[in-house]
Amino acid sequence: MLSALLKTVQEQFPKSYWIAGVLPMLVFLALNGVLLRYHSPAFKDWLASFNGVEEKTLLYGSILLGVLISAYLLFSLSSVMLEMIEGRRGPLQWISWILLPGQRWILKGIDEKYDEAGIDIDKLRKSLARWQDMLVAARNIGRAPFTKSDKSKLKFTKKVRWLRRMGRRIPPNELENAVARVTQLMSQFETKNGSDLDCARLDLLEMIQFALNRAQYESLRLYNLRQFSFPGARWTFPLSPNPSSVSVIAPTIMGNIGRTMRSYALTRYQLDLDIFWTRLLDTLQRSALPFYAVIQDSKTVVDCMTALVWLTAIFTFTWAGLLYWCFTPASPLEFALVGFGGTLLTLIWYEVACQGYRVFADLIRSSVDLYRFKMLEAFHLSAPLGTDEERELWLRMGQAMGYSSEQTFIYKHPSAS
Amino acid sequence: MRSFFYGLLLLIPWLALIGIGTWRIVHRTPPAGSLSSAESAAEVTAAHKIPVSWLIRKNDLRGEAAHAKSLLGLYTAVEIGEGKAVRAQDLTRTPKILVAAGKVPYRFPVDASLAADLNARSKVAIFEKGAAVIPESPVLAVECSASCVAILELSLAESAFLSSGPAGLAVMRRQ
Repeated sequence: MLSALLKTVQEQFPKSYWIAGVLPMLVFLALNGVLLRYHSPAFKDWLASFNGVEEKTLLYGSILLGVLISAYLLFSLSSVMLEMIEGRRGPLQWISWILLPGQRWILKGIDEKYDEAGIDIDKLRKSLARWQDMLVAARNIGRAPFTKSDKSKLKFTKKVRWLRRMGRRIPPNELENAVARVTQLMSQFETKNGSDLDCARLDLLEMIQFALNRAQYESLRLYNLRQFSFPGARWTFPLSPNPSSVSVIAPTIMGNIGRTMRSYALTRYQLDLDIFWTRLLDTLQRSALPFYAVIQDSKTVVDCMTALVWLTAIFTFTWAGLLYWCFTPASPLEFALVGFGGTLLTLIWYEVACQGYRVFADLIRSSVDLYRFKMLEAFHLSAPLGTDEERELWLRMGQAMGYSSEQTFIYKHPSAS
Repeated sequence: MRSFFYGLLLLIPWLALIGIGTWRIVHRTPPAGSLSSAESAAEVTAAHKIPVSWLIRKNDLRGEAAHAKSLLGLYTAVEIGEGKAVRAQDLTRTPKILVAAGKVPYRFPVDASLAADLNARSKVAIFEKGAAVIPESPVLAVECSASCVAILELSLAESAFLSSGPAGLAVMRRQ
């Protein structure tokens, strides 16, 4: 009977309800139940008071119903919980004055490293040909034999070799020094093919190439990290007289990842996702069902992790207090396990939620790229001829739909085409 | 890396609270058997500042046998007959009051005069090994020997006596 009931319930609710609603709630209630049974004699007595098959069936049925209802409530609150974790409402918004400086600091760190990578690329590009010429030309100057006892003169390359071996950044000035000293040695000693000096020369050439490649890789990685983790772009000088709403950062990492979706669509196409999101969703449902399913699955992961973050935080906070004040004397190990373990678990869920949200945001950006013209078809509007026209079109549509600005459009109905 | 450090910075107050809480729980647990038998219960109570809520609560001893055993450890009253008082010869080692408010029993030495006083004033309820412990009134568990626990059922007047008596012990009736 129970399995039949479960099957009926399962058919009634979507997959996301089971993953983002039932699963976190079940874990939460089970953990609370275990701790309550362990610490509260009253709860234990209450459980023990159910005797006989009928009473126990009633108990299990009530528990099941309770889980399903509370899971449904949790599932309904998923968008609220997501907004809360983004810092748009609730406790994280109240402490946004503490959180915002941290986000600015993180962003500044990315920008600084990006600048550093850019400077490295410039320096390396400028010096590349000169270093190459030096290391090739100096080969024919030296005449003295490079013996084993002279090998110690190559010790200075130890640091750059280590940086290369570890795949770390090799500062251009370190390379500059190394090139100068190897060249100096080459001008004194004969550089035979396969000799230690020749190997050092070849290694150095490879390191120069590596340093340039790594700086390029780092530059692109940081650029992507910035644009997919924080909204907007860096400010530039001179300041722009046109205000932009895309570069305002949120108090949390999740909030900033969320804002990248709107920022991306606005900076690329002038398409405001705050206005067009539900329209785009409709287009995806009609024209790209498999892609829409992928987006839904991704959102389910985000909702599940968000629910786990909040429920674990509530569990940790509540049980740390209960164990300390109400269920004394709790064992220190248990208290520490709940306090530290719960906090660690909350952080892990949050990190996983962030990763999931990055994937979701990427899917949304892709859907903007791929299906925005389909959305125009749904509006019965012609596709623009070029990028400038497109930006102009989305801007005007956004103003018309979002801010009731009077705009004129010429429709293209399917029958007329 | 910066996000990790900033997250850690924000969590420091909370982690410090948990750390302090753990430390306090560790240090408010009196180590069993570390006190000499010469110390009276009053001294022990005063020295450890035992909160009232730590002393025996009636409902903590209610429940099935396994639960009672978990509260009282493995001590069961098998050496003393029903209705008999705890005699001096039954106290094969330093008698201790088992404070069973919670899972772990805390043991405090009781001097002989207090034990005698308790015997004179209290009805001693004896439980078979593994039997359910369902006292109807406030109780005080007195460890008599390694394998013996006398559960003293106390009346309100006795509770009051113990609370204000020479031992300075508080016996709490759960509201």
